[in-house]
Amino acid sequence: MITGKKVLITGATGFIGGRLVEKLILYHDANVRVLIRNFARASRIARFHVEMIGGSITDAQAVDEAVAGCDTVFHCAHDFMGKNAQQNLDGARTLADACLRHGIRRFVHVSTISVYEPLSDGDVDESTPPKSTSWTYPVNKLAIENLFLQYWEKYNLPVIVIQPTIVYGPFGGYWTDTQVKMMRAFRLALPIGGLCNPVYVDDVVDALILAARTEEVVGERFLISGAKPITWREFFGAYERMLGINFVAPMNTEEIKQTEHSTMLNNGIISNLKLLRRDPRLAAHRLVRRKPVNKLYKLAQSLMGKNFARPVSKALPAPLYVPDEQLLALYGARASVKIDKARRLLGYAPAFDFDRGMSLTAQYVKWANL
Amino acid sequence: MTIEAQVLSVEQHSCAGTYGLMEVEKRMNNSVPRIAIIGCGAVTEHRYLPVLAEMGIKPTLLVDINLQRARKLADAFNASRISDDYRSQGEFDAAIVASPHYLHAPVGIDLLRRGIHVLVEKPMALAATECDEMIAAAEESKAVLAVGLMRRFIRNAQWVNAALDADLLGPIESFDFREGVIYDWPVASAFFFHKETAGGGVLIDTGAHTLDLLLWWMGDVASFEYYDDSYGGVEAECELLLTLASGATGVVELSRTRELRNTAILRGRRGEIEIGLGGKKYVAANPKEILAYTNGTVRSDPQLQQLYSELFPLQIKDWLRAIETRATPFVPGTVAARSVALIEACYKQRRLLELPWVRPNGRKTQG
Repeated sequence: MITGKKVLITGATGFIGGRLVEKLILYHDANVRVLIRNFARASRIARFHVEMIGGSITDAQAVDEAVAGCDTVFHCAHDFMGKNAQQNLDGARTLADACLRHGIRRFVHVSTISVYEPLSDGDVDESTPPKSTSWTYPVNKLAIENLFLQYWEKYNLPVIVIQPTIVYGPFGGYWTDTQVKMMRAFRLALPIGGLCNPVYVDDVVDALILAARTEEVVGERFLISGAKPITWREFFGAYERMLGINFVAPMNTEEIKQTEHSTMLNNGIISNLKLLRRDPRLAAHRLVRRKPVNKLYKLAQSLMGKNFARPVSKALPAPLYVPDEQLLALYGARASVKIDKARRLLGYAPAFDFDRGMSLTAQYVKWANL
Repeated sequence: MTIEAQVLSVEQHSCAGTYGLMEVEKRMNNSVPRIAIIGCGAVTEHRYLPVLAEMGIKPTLLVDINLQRARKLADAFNASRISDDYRSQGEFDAAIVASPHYLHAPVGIDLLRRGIHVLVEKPMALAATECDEMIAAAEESKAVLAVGLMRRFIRNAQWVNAALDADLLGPIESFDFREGVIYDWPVASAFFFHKETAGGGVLIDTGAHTLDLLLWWMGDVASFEYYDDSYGGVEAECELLLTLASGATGVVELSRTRELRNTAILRGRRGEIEIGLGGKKYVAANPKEILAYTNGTVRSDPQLQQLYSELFPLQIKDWLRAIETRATPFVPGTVAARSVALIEACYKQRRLLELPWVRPNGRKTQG
């Protein structure tokens, strides 16, 4: 049980951590403490009565102060900058040591489905072996969850690892806020037929709380997703309808691979000619970014103001965004994530189907002026 | 004093062009008061100390409960001394009070009673009664009390006030203020996010400026409804539905978690003005001819962007001028007290602003 208990959340200024603060206080009357690296990002959680301790997870003194007296620790913090991967790992060790010292009852770590990347077609569950990859994020997250599970095996730190899939929802980091901003600027070269395993943020947070409350289960990994997969086309289609924008350019994977990576940056003559043949309007868009043409464009803009800018910008299509290797693999895989273990051992049951989750997300996107 | 005279006065005495560096330095040697800065948070580090350094003024004393931080800033900005208690070092004539909000009034009152001139950051205080005490203390000791509502130094804001005074829009019928950015001010401690020390959230912080401009331009509030999203902490969002004494009605929406339009629209019977808020460079009018209105040095300038870093020097120079000449500063306590009273009333009558995704299943407790 978690009601009235002191809990620590790292990464509380982030997407999942922020919603965890809200739900723990609104629905579970928990006594929430947060470890905050950057107070400027605390506006959302400061709406609640939370105890804030300043410091990063690599600051042993701050971490020790934050963990002291806590029943449960939720570790949501992760620095996504590739250069800070070692810092993430060091911070995890610092946190685990402090949790051991203070004898906390439960440690819930937020990992990711990415530890199974690149995903294969077919079912994915917790027994799926991780693959060898050089991609920083999955490597770093896998190393961290292995570290925590070693702390369970060697020192009995009561760890549960939660592996959410494609988490979307209000204040939603990569799969909501970033995608919406991308959609307003680009079109996406999307492989045909790939499967997406979306999960609404509240379902993930409920799984974290279930993991904190359970007494019977420890030292386990749990994949957390929505009730069933949909296609990526359906996932982005929901945003397209929400925004009234055409974002997806369906292509087969080979075609995408042959398309230059990041058409934004490569302005070579050959590639321009190829592009002109394939997509004249996109070629025009690129042309406008070239210095002399851009000067003329801006001059016309300053002389004619919005009367010029509107029809021109309307006529120019958004440039094509070609996913990098890691994203392309994710979008192309026909992987279906199984949540049977979480259902069985945690009592997890997703409460938000995709339509309901997206309906709330749409209200957020409109409100947030994204 | 008319607005034109006020602005002229501020510009003559405060602008770098007319009050050049040599002049500042000369005066400093003779009559610039010994200044203490109380509170070494972000505004002191990023605004007051750099501006004073630019003006060639060396603070006499930096005060902060965190002596390590005070030392760091003192070393960086060449301040003479540090202390964790402003009362222990009495050798200063004037003080910039940039402490956590809840200390503005008690510290300000104490200093003013001792005859020390005060420039207090906004919000001036957390309650109207505290403002009254500060004003009374200043009157009694003849010390100068200025408040850090530096948006009043924005020339386009002054032009809006002059245009309204000149009745260019006719009677104001409605208004619409929207100000919001994703918060990124480099706060140095958690005080800012605790109700007890900050007094509130976006309303008392950003709203101190926004409501001050509203009251300055359009006069007193007759009635209001106030909503915010605090669940026991400090609000990140708020909405204020206002009816003014003049009969005009409108809305003020403020946010720390999203980008809003960041303008104020004032609609009169004969025209409307839209002006940027929160540092946004924008001023427009319908009909356009309104923009051509000038009153002495007061004129509109759609291309003008006065960054906060430019407004702080104006504010400090105005305060120093007021100290030197024993004149009323451009933003005295009596002016700032009005928005404090409105903010206080809002918090007393607050209703919950609940967004649909916060409790999508209603208020029932889960498990």
